Amino acid sequence: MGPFLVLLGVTLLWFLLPLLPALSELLRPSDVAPLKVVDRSAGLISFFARNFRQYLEKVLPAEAGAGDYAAKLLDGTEFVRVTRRPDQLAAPGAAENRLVVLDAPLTLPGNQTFLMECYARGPLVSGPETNYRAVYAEHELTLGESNRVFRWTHAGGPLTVGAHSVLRGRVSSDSRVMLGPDVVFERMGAPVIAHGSVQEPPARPNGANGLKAWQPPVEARKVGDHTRIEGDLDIPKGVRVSGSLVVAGRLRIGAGALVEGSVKAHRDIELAEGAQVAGAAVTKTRLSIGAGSWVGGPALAEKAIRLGPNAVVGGPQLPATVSGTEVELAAGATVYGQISGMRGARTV
Amino acid sequence: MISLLVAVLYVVVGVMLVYTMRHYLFTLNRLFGRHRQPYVDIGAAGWPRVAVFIPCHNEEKVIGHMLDALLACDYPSESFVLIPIDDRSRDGTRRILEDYAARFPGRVRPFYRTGGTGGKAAALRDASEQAPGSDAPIHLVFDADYLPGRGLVKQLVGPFFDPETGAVMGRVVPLNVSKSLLTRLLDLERTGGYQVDQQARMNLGLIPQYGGTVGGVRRSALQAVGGWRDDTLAEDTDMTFRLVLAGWEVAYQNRSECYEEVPETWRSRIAQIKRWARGHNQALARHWWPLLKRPPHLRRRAVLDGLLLLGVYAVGPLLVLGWGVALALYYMGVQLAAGLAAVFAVAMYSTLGNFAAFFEVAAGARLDGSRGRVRLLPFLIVGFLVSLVSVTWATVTQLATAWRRSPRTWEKTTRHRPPELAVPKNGVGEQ
Amino acid sequence: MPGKAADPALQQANRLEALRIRGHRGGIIRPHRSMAGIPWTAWRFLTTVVLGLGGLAGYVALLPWISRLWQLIFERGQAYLALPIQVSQQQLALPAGWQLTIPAVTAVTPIPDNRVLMIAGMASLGVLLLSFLLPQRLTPLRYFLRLMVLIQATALLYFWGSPEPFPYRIADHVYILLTAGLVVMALVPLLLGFTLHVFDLALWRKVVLTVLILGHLVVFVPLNVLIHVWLLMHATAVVMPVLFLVFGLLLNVFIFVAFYGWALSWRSDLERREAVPPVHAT
Repeated sequence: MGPFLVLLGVTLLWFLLPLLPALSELLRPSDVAPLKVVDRSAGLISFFARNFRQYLEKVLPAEAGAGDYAAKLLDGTEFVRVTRRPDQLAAPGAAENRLVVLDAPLTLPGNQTFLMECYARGPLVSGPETNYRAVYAEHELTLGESNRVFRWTHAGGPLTVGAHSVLRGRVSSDSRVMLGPDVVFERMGAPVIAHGSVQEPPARPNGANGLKAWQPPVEARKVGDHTRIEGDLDIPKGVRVSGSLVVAGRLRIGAGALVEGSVKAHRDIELAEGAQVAGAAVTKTRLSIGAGSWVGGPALAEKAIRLGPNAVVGGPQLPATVSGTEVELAAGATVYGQISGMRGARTV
Repeated sequence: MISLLVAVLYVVVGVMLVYTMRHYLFTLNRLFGRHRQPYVDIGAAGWPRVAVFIPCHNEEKVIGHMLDALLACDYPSESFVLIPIDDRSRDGTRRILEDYAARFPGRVRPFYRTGGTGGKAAALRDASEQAPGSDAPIHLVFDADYLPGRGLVKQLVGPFFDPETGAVMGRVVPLNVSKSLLTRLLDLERTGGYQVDQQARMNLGLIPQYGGTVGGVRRSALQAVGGWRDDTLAEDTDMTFRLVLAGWEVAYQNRSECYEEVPETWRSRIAQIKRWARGHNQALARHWWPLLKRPPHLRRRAVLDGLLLLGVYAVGPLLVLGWGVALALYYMGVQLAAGLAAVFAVAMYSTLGNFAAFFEVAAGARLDGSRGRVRLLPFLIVGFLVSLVSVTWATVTQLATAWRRSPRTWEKTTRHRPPELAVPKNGVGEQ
Repeated sequence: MPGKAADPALQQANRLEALRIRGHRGGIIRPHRSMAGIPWTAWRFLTTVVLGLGGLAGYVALLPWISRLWQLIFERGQAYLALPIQVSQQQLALPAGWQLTIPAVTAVTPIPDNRVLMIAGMASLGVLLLSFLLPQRLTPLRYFLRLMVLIQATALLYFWGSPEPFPYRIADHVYILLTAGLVVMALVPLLLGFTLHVFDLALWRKVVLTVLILGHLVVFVPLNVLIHVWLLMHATAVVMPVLFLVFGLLLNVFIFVAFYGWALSWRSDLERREAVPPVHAT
């Protein structure tokens, strides 16, 4: 019996060896907290910018004197305050690794890099070829050509973005964002965002005058509050569609047609020139909103979205979201709300 | 006789292999596939009116925390009404609801049931049809012990901008993880189920399941399929398939997370899983044939996945049957006679087949960044054993008493949360 | 060019680009867990295939040594335990016409008489009673004990009532378990291929884990079988079904899962390079 118990003991120990990590985790837990699920941002696009602002309120010391100087925040972070001489920011070591507080309306000369945040208390005009880690402007912010921001951008007033600029992370304005050509960004939110010029939504988004009522095809069937069509669907130009549509194939909405509800397609959606969708436009592939077209509700695509010249999404009292893997905005394209391009959005 | 038993065993092993491949496919897809959360970036919108239903039966320990959390959410208050449904509670639930209704008139509008069939499904049915505020186009449902974050309601409403969405489901995350080995195992199971399984089904265009809480339905869809049914133990599974068969989609949003309380004792866990098993089996009986007939709007792979989803609790008894047959064949000496091939097949099944679920759970935990708890993986076997026995027993008794119609009652997880522990540190309410 | 300092503009561009994904303290900001996936790289694909197939090839190459080790363990074990068995060798026919020598055991398989059946029955009842006396928090153990009792009950019924002789001898039990063990070990590198090597773990860790699992099983399988043999010789064949179904292959799977769970708790290569602690990403 003795030798058997020894063998049993040895084998049991050998068996338990790989279980030691499991037993250790069981008896002395190292990872037992619930996942942090609260989203403190609550979807606010300016969340990081607001956090920075709150942080600055706590740590920015009272003014040490008039004029420009370098000092430390209450938490020890070095910062430089500029009111008169923005050109001296270009001096080596002046501002690259310091937080910058711009305390007056200023125009930066350009060709500068700020590896820490910039905070502008007054209107700020940024020269060309300037790189920012992040920039917060209490009022108007104008980014020159080929500016780059790597984390977030926020302006309390209008935000103007020069051509060929790249804005990573979240971009927000409490007023409006005007984009130049060839601007690349990721997520942007403002009461109105426009490439070049702001377009208003159609005057009568739900107007039916002059539009013939659309008759669904025979094979269409009613599913709850929408009409479903298996296969592709072409809506002729100048018709009015009441209610929402779900199309299992491709959907094309002819020029000047109006859909009074929302549309969903499993393949591409194309709104021809002047077409309107009062609700949302949702597709599992690509969405093309033609010139002068309008979508009232969210415009969502699981691939690319293209807003043609003067295309509009949303309205002044009707915020909306444009979201796709890639988003492209032609000249005059206007979005009232948010734009999100998972792999990037750009103006052309 | 041996041939018959071997054939049965092949069928059982075949079914298990299908589920095994499904687990592997889902996990690999979740790890490496294209990720679908098309609605999660909706930040600006004309938010529709929402009614949030919270079925309650003796929920005095938790309902206040739930209401506080929802009242703190960032959904436009004019478009948002809370409808707690008090179904003949005998504790202080009603008093608490009356207090909130007085303090938040128009925002909290309790619905009191004094008669009718008991149970969550019946409560939802009555409230969704009769309660003031229930004419809102979106109905969200939360169990009373949940703790939603500020942005959760907007996130759950987002998918309904898609006119094809009939229901939406978020991810439940256990709050009381640290209580016992059981809660830690359930946390791992939930991780596998939501972070991997549900999301993979969403990625692959299959049928994510509406889970009855941290989710919602479109009112017009609900009406189109006949509303909530009170003759089912799993109104969520039943609703999922009624919607899908009628042409709606169920959207799963992995990002829409909400705390829940998982069972802290084995007794309550067993009761929970028995309930789920019976409810799921009911849904299987009702919907397998309509699904198999494949409505034109459903793709073949969605039909297949739907059938597998419906059968997920029937697999337990099937597995037990397979073990029984294998045992019988063992006594008949079949294993020996079949030689190396049989040994190979058994060994392969035991490893590959049993391992698929562990892979899913481990992958989910790793995606969560929860490395330490993955070490508990071997203990999942004990959880599986208890679940297997419970599900099998529930199925057997359900079949044995199928002719009997039992009165519906409230069946819910026992609440353990002490009143002072409303929220975790850095949890809901943190600014 | 060698010896020339990197272009300052390129350095600057890299520093700026890093701003996108690095936080204040230099750690990498990762996407939320709900959106996280694992990027699939050609290198990882290659290592997955190479480690999987290479591991299998390595294992096959080592089979002759494994065979000798098992023979040694059996011979020494038989002597140490003073088992009334004969340890010899047998040929296992493998695919592609290969043969492998594995230990064979020749013994008189004790068949239970009524006295043994009575004792086994009483013991089973005792275990069953114990399962009802254990507290609720040990429910999994309660169920496990009842499962064992159930299987044992079938064995008791068989030996008591079946007109057919029990189809297995100790030699068969040993053969099946050793063979199954070899098969499980062969599956280990392949299974790790698509369930572990696909993750972003250091290459050397993946190799070490494969070796550890195989090394552990190489020792565990024959020791476990020896214990079975001892128990069968002393408790008779009435315990063979329980030993086979509960304490055979399933233990090998359990060992594999334990190693796997441990391995997946290791830091990823990215975390290790960036020295970023694991976070519950928000």
